Amino acid sequence: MGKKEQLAEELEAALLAIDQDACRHIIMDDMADVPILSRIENAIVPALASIGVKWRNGDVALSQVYLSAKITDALLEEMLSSSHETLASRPKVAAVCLEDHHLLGIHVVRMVVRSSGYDVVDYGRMDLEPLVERVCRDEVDYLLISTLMLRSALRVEKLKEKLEERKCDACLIVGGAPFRYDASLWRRVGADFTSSSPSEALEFILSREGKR
Amino acid sequence: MKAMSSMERVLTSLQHKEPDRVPLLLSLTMHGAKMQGVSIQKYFSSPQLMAEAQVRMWKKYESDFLNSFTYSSAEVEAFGGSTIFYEDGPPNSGEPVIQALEDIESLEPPDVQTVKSLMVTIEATRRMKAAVGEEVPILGVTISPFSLPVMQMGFENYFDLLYSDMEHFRSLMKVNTEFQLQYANMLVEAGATAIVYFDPLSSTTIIPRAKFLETGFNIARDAVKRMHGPIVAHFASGRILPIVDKIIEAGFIGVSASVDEDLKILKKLAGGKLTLIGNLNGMEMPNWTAEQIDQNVRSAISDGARGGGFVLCDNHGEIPYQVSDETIQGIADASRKYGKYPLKRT
Repeated sequence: MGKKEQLAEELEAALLAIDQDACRHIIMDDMADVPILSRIENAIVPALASIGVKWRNGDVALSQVYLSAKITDALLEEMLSSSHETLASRPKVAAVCLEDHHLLGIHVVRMVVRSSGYDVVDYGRMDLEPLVERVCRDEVDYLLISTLMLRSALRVEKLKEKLEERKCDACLIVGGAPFRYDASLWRRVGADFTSSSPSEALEFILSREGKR
Repeated sequence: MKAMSSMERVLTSLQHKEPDRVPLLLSLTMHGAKMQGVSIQKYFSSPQLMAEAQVRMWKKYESDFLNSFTYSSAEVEAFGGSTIFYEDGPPNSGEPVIQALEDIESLEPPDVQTVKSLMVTIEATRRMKAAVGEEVPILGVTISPFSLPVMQMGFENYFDLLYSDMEHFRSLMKVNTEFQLQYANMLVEAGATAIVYFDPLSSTTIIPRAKFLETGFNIARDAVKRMHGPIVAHFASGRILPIVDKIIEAGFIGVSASVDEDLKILKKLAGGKLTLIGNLNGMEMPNWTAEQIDQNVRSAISDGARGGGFVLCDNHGEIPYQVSDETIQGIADASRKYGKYPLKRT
């Protein structure tokens, strides 16, 4: 195993153990000489991707996914605050909780996508009409949508319709329980992709952006 | 075999024996509003409408339970929380009532008798009991002390608390446990035959087994000891395979089965000690064809019902509002078609 793979594995183990000190040591000390973007690409992205796969397979719990994302997000902030490097502002990515009141899902996805080096605008919880206005105004390229209730998931169809009326071609990436338990729902509501883990959303964006 | 009453059917299955047919639990809450032609909000504020609809739905679909559950955030209303109602879906809990850790320090267990929404449920339970007596089991549902904070303080803040501040966590659990116990026992007193202990946070979908053993398990075991009546654990589609042994140890008599897990394996692990309740996929139900209804019901019965200890049900604990009457009727018909004991070999 190469040094890069080893660090990614060590980081993953530390993240799953919710060991913040060990995570910090790997990213800030062991990789001190590595440029920030390389630390992201070589350690953070693969560690979070592996955790995402394990979540999908039922091998890790939501609390571990959330805390992993939170730890890496804090490390990213720390790295950025001590350097001149910034997150990429294009493509424009926004995250929203559509008409639900459970923000956990969308915060985790936002943190995971940010940890890959893309800035993500957090829209928080929004109703449909103001969301359409905001997506069009901000010229969003990727809209990450989280829902918990089926009724909110079904609202994505209306969202798509309204965005098309406004000639807005934001790519809609949906996630949450309704999409996880009904594998074809995302197609029926007109979304462009569904991700059963935060890192899957990230992989989709990276792939669309031609980085993989 | 002579046809049994719903109560006989359910009790026989709970004893891990085969009744006349597989008991059917249709988790219909909001559909009662549809049946009564009123809004969900109005429906959940009327014990009379709820009791009438539950009895009518039980007769219509020939299911085996009545259910007095309204909506989860009713229990957060007891702590000063608010509820947001929708026309076509379950109510959501509003802004968290615990905004800072200091709020936990001053929290007291609320008196259930002063909480209007919970007293609606208590009164609805009483009316259901008056209507069906001992013929049909009535389920009372409470949110576990361990899962309630997701609504009291928000998911993220609760995870942070759970992993970094056990002192405040324990204080919160003490208050929630007293409250939940009071409410559960009032439901039993009003006529609930069994309590559904709704504890999605304890599922290994949400926290790992080690964390469950340190937290939710102890709370559940204590709650089961102190609650009157038989208790069923429900994890709202969450996975439970890694903690089935502890669910048995905690003293539950039944448990929800998720569509995410293999019912045959769960059945083996339950080992004649836990009745499995599940595992039809509620999220897919709105789009099921007649063939899919048939196939899914037959498959669940085939995998879980042999020898009793099984109740056919959706896997989330609430059938979505979008599921049509035809689909519900189809599930009920298929459960009678394939659920007659002795089961045919498939």
